[in-house]
Amino acid sequence: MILGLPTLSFWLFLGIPAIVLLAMLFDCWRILTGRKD
Amino acid sequence: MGGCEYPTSRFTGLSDIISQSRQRRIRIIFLAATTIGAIVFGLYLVVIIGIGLVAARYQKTEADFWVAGRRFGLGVLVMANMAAVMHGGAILSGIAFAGQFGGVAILPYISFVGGAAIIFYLFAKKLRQSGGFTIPDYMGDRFDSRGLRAWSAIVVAVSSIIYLIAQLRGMAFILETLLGFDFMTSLALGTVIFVAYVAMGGLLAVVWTNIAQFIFMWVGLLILVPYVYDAVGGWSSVLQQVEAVAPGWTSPTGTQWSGWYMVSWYLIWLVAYSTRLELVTKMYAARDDRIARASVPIAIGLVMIFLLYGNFYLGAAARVVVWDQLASPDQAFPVLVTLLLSPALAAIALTGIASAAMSTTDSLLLMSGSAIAHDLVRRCHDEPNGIQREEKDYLRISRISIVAVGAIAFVCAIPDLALILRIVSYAIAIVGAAFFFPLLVGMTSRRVSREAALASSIGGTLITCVWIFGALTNTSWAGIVHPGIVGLATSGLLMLAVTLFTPPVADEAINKYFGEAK
Repeated sequence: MILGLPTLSFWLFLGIPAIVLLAMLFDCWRILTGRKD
Repeated sequence: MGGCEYPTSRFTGLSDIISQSRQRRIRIIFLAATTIGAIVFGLYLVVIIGIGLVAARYQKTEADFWVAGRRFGLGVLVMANMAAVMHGGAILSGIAFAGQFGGVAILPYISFVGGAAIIFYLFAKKLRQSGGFTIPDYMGDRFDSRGLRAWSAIVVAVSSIIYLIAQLRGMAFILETLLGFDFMTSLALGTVIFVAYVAMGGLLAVVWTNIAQFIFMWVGLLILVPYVYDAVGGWSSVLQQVEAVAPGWTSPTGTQWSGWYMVSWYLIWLVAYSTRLELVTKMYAARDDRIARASVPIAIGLVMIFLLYGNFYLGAAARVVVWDQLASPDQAFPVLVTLLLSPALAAIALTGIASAAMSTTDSLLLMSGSAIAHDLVRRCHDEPNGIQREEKDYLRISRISIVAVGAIAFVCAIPDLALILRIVSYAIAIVGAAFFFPLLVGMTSRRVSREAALASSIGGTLITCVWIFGALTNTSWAGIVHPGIVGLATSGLLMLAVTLFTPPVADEAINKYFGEAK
């Protein structure tokens, strides 16, 4: 168990998509605030 | 599970709904609480017809009907995108598949974010700025080809109508179970209700009813939370328990899959999400291109969070609590609900999910209707032949096409054609082969030619259909790999090869997507 979750692969399964999603959300914030075209 | 035996109903959720509707156990719940089920369902019907009537007041032009006048702000578009991706069927089959194969394996999160990233970074802005209504609009404009527009409209119309036939049968079984009518009455009632509000209110009615269905579904799911928590505990607790009863459940390949199988499953989902017509065409309805783009990652992020509960946690709980009592995995959610909730609450939970399971029906009606009225009649026939009609005439043609599509699907849904259900599970492969590369390459390269797009879309679709025919007739070569993978490979290779020998599309046509040539 790592921080309540069972395996390292489980962390990767959640973590990699989460990082990509956060990058998109950051760009999304920049688009909505006019910082990015 | 064998190499190519994909749990394809995950894509539609439909066969599960149908088989579920026939389960005696669900009937018992509803018979025990028919009144509550009927009241909740009656409320649902009143809400969706009311939305249709209100939305009808906003319909003046064809643009009002197909893209809701491009009025959607961020909040509405995010909810509309979520409802397009996550409906009741996805929850029912998601819990069944998660319970059976493992939670990490069946939730292709990397495909969700990959598909969303393709739409977010490559498609959304250009689609919205191009000012079209439909994917055939994009295909016709970007490649300056009436033939490609007509071909795309036929693919959209045929694939949506086949899917619609299966959806109408699924809906009739649900109404049969909920309201106690016979099959024909249920089929006629359901078809009339859906055709009526879609023909009245167009996309505006579809989006708001989807949001209402979405709320019904989440009321149904959230009722369960305290009861499931009492039974299996929190996140860590349920994962420890499920790993003990089903070793490998939390691993990426789950309880039964091979590494290759998992990769092909993720790949099919990546293409499925980036070409999901219900999602991609919503970009046209945004107020501006910033709203269109921003709605995608927000919606997908929320979908991923909700599915952690709606598929993953509930799937694990079902595996721990009820798995040894099930005749088939399809029963996972109904049996879990029956076991943990009182009959009245169980009826509310199941009715909420059943209502939302119908939410793709209206989108399919709208898409096949737009392919006929807008793409084939207006853009492929009237405009090239110099025929001019008023907007109110096109609005009437749009409504007639919705009624016509509803009537065709109704007649085809009467006989019990098992073949249609099997074809439906492959519809996603056909759409992917027809549109993935023309969208992806057409949005990123000025060089790609009209001939390449035609060859890619038609060749990929035809090979996919041949492969599906092979799979349906249990031919040995068709079992090696999923039809979607073969169709995509064909489509990609044809796109590359034909582009090398043909000239790019004229600048006047593609400047809309790339700006002025330098």
